[in-house]
Amino acid sequence: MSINSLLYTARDAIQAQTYGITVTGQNINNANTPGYVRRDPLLATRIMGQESHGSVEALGLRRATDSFLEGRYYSSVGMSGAAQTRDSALAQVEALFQDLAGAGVGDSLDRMRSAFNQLSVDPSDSIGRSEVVAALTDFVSRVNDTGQSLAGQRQGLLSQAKDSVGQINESAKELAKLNEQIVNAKLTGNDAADLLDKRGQALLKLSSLADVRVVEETDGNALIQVAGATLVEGNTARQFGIDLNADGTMKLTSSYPGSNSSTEITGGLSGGSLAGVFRVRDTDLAEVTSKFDTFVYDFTTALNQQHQAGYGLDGSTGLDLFDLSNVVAPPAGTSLSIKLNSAIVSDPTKLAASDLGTTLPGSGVNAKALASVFDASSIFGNTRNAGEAYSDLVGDVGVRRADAIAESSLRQTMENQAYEQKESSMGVSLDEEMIALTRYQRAYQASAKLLATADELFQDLLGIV
Amino acid sequence: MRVTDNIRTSSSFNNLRDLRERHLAASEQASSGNRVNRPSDDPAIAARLSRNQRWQQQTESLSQSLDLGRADLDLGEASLASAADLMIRAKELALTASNGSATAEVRNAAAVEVRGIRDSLLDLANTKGVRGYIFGGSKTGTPAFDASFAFQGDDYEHSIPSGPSSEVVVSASGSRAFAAAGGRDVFQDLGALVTALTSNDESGIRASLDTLDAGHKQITLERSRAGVNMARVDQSQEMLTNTKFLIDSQNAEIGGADPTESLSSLVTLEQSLQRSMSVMQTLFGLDAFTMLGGR
Repeated sequence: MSINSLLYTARDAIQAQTYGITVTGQNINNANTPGYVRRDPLLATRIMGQESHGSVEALGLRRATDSFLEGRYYSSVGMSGAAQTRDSALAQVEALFQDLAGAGVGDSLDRMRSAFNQLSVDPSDSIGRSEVVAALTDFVSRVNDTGQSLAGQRQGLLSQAKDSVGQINESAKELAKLNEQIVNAKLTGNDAADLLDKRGQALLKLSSLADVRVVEETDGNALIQVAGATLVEGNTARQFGIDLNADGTMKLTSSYPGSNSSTEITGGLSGGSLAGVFRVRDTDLAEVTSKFDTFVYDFTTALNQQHQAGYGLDGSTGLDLFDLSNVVAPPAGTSLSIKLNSAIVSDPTKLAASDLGTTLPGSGVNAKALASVFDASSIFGNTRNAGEAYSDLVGDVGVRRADAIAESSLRQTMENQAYEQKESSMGVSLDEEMIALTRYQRAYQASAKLLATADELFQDLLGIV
Repeated sequence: MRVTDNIRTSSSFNNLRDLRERHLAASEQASSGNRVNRPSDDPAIAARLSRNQRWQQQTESLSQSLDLGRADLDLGEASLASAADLMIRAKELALTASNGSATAEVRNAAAVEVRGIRDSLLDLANTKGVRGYIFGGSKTGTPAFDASFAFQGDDYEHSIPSGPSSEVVVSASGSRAFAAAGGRDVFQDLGALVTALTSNDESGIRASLDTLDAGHKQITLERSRAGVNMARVDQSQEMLTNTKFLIDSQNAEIGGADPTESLSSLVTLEQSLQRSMSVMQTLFGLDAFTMLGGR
């Protein structure tokens, strides 16, 4: 080995350690960059001719990725997103049935019953009749408000679903473009690590919207499936869409760009905020709305029947208390369309407090019967009265929200665990980077010393000459 | 396990967030005094509390109705008591006038007073209460007896709910108290007495003693009925008061927060929060850059 080769060895060592410091610096710089995956410099012994004790060279870097942990993280983010979306939406539903804080329909049920009781004591009292009308108006108003809030929330969730699908389609285009860029980079022998980071970040965003499955191919392409259907294949992205079924429920569709035909893929959707929207809108909200409509319809129909049997102060009979004529397909839509009979609003003497036309004006028998409708279990399957049926509805909403809170908490914990496992394998540790920095710095200093030594040897040799 | 800075940050953040949420819940419990503040806190208990709310309101409503109904019942009972007193006075006058030594002048003077008694009795029979003329059955809008003492009402008995499945009558019957439906038409009997007195008919006066006695008894009997119903109203009110107390106790038992437990939980969580933040401060100071930075 010559003194020249010693100089080359020192040069290679300085270059290699500089590369190590550069990669370490990159890791430190990106320690908090979302989606960044730690890089490890790849150093190897350089064979110098036939010499077995060669120099060192930097071969490049390794992106410390783990596709299994990444996939698991995407999945947990999706499940967590679905649970949080459901929880958030059900929190709004719960507020509508917050009877423990004085909101909800419960108070108006009490007020109506009390008003009928008071009317039964003094059927000819005009103030008592006005109070009944006020109580009925309050009930109808609260029922309408609840019905409109539930319907408005379902409409809002439909918009949210459409927005999510729009974002999925945007992500699909971005991912298809990244696929193409990664393949090209690899073909030309360039480092695709930054592009892979970007793709990972795009996949993370996508997984927060819907469940994602990724199959990485050797050429750098990633086959991306969402809701069990292919979304991105190579540089081609398909289009997802949201349509409504005849019963008002949503359906998720997939189609090729520019194609008029689409395939329904709703059944495959299991994660992401979109899955949460589907579940809370078409299951939770649909069921709560249906139960509320049924409760209101059955109860007001029973009150109508009882009221029809009585007589008003003016001798009128056969009148309904509630106008259900706008309810197209009862009981669905009752809470939205129910009104108070305008004839009674304008003339409270038509309130039928008496059971007979001959016992006017002092009979309060029908007013008593109207109050007793609140105790009748026959309206609700002979198992509970109106107050109990409504309380069961409150309990049902509570069960759904409690379930959503528990699921959201569990999914959040699982997401945290998956994140920590992914981060543990792929993330940047500043402790490690500091040690690596010190290590490369020391090695650089030693290499510089080697260069200085070789130089001194040269000087000594030249001094002899 | 390899611990990165992001793991330390996210773990600390998650722990702190969890503690904050629990602290908020504990604060809510301690300040409201309720363990269940919304349906999701405990759906089964929330449903039960909601039922209790309905029950509580129903109880209060029944109590208010009984108060209103009781007012007319009290008035009816008092009117019947006065009516019974008038009948006693009429009987006293008849007894005095039935004496063989009573002169026509004395009997005429008695007749004038009996007429006044009959008019006073008519006023009592036409007493107006909260819901109108209280002795007219369902005909509360018109006087129970007209100027010719004919009953204008009906036999309707006004009853109101006194409990979930019980009722109590809060009216007194004018027909049973004053008209032939009760056995004697007291106005007719008083009229007969007036006729006997003015015509100085001693046997007629003697005959009216029995009819007046029977009239007094039927008014007293109706007053007793009113008294029984008043007692029932009182019993119902007492039961409703007990029920309200029972519901309050039950609500406190199933939905109330134990003050000691909730405050102790709040203090514990506050300490946990302080510890967590202190640990975070220490944790973020522990890194190789800080330790080797002064090198």
